[in-house]
Amino acid sequence: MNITIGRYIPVQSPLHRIDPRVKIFCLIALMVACFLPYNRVINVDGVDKEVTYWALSAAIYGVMFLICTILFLVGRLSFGKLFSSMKSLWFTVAILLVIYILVPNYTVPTLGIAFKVPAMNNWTVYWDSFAGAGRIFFRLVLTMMLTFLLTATTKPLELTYAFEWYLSPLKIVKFPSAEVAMTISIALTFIPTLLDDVNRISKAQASRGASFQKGGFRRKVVGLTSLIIPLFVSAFSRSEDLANAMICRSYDPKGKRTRYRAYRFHLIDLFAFLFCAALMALAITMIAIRFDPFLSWFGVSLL
Amino acid sequence: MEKAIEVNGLSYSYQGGDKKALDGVSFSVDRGSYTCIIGHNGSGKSTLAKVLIGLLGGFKGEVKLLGEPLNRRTIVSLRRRVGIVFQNPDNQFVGSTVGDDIAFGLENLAMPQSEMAKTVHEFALATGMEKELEVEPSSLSGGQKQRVALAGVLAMSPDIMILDEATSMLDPKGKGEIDSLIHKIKKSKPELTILSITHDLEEASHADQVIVLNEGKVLLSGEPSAVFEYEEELREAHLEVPFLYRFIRALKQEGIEVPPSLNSLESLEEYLCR
Ligand SMILES: Nc1ncnc2c1ncn2[C@@H]1O[C@H](COP(=O)(O)OP(=O)(O)O)[C@@H](O)[C@H]1O
Ligand SMILES: [Mg+2]
Repeated sequence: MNITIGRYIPVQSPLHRIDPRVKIFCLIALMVACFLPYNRVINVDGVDKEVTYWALSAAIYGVMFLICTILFLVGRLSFGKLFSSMKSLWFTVAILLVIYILVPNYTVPTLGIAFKVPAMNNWTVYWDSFAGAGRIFFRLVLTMMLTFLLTATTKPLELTYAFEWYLSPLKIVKFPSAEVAMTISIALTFIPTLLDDVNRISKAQASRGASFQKGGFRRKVVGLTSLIIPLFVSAFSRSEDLANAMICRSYDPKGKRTRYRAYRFHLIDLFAFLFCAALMALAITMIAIRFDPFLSWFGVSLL
Repeated sequence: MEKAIEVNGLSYSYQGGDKKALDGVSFSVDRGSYTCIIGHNGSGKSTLAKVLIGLLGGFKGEVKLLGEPLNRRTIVSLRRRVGIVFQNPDNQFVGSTVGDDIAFGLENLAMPQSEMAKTVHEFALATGMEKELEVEPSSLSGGQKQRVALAGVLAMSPDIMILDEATSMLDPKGKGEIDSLIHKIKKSKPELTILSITHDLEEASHADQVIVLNEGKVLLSGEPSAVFEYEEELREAHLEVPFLYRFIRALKQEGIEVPPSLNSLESLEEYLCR
């Protein structure tokens, strides 16, 4: 099984040093900046209509892409892994484009006619459809880059801690955030063990004639059952052993526990926090004040 | 001699089990001693260990640990003084890294964070895992995982340590490492009581006391040299007496007496050549 995205890559970099709680905040802040609707109002036949501000959107995605690229270099991450996990993206975007051409997602086209389809009763295709698909594409690419940046530079252990920290206010309403974090952390620790089990069982069952790839649907289902049932049996027996081991080491989810790992905020965390918070604030402000860079430069809206 | 473990008429049946897993077991273990429990598969060794660590309630009979009776009221405080290492190295690794796993028990005991790093390092050093503190369990060998489990138990400074076939799933190299580590621990902590459940009668021959379980009952108990006299009884319980003791017995039958303190082939050789 190969999982390229979502794996921790153990190298030394400033990004690896940032506190996981700050990194999660930064991820969310930058995602917000990517997903906000950048609109403007135009006047069509005396009626004000809200349309996507394509030029501003493009500028924002460009800046975000630049930022992500720089972060990739700072974090010493390879683009190869990213590209290989982007393969399925092209297909998705192509389908989206077809949908947007057939069912336009814009209120008023602002980018002009791309072409007409004589075979379809002169169906007019506007550039806006392409822009719409392009926007989705960039949002997906940026989302992938940002999550990749987070998971590649943050150990699962640290991520779990950050989740626990963010969920800890919910303790007031009796939400068991520490137990949830413990569960996630154990689940992550046991993934390699369970993958080994899958390998072991599927080999054992294959040697008895079970088939996971070949044969008809029926045979595959039977093959899969012969894999899943022993896997569950093994997982349950492991979890019982583990629960015993935890009890024997005085684990009490309700009791007071201390923590082996110390997490403290450092100066680099403050910088990262301020940078991402500022970017998000900037994006929100631009929308709130209906910022129009192209109007102010030339006196008229060009795009 | 003060007793670490006193068991009197202990019986236990699993729910739905047709026969008793433990049936009137009685024995006692001196403080600071090294006791081996032997017996073939299904003889009730693990059940006994689970009763002693307080995982199985509802047993019949009396169990006293460190002078205190084991019951619902004392279970939490007693558990802090008894550690156990189980058989399967994969199924007792709780932390995400070696350091986290050694610290797990300390976190549960609410040891202050400032002391924890020092303690974790101390016991990682004692078990030879100090370079692997940040390593995840998936890249450790079975032997290394068991060393971490030992470190995690020792870090909680227990009075009694139970080993339930801690080496039976390891390769010979891993087994050798754990055996010599336990030997080292025994020397450096003479006040620690060790109860080792094992298949390895060679190991049992170095114990202060051997208890043989068969079908939930104590078949034999005593010093290894005394227990290994009962070759036929042991064979009936599917246990093979180590070569040394079969040899000593054969010598006795020939009329050559050897002192019972001899517990290695080398010392026997030395004695016979004199
Ligand atoms: N969870 C269980 N439920 C029912 N019966 C069990 C369970 N665990 C063990 N037994 C039975 O109890 C007996 C003793 O088992 P165990 O203590 O594991 O033996 P040992 O560790 O000596 O191999 C066996 O007959 C076994 O089948
Ligand atoms: Mg057992």
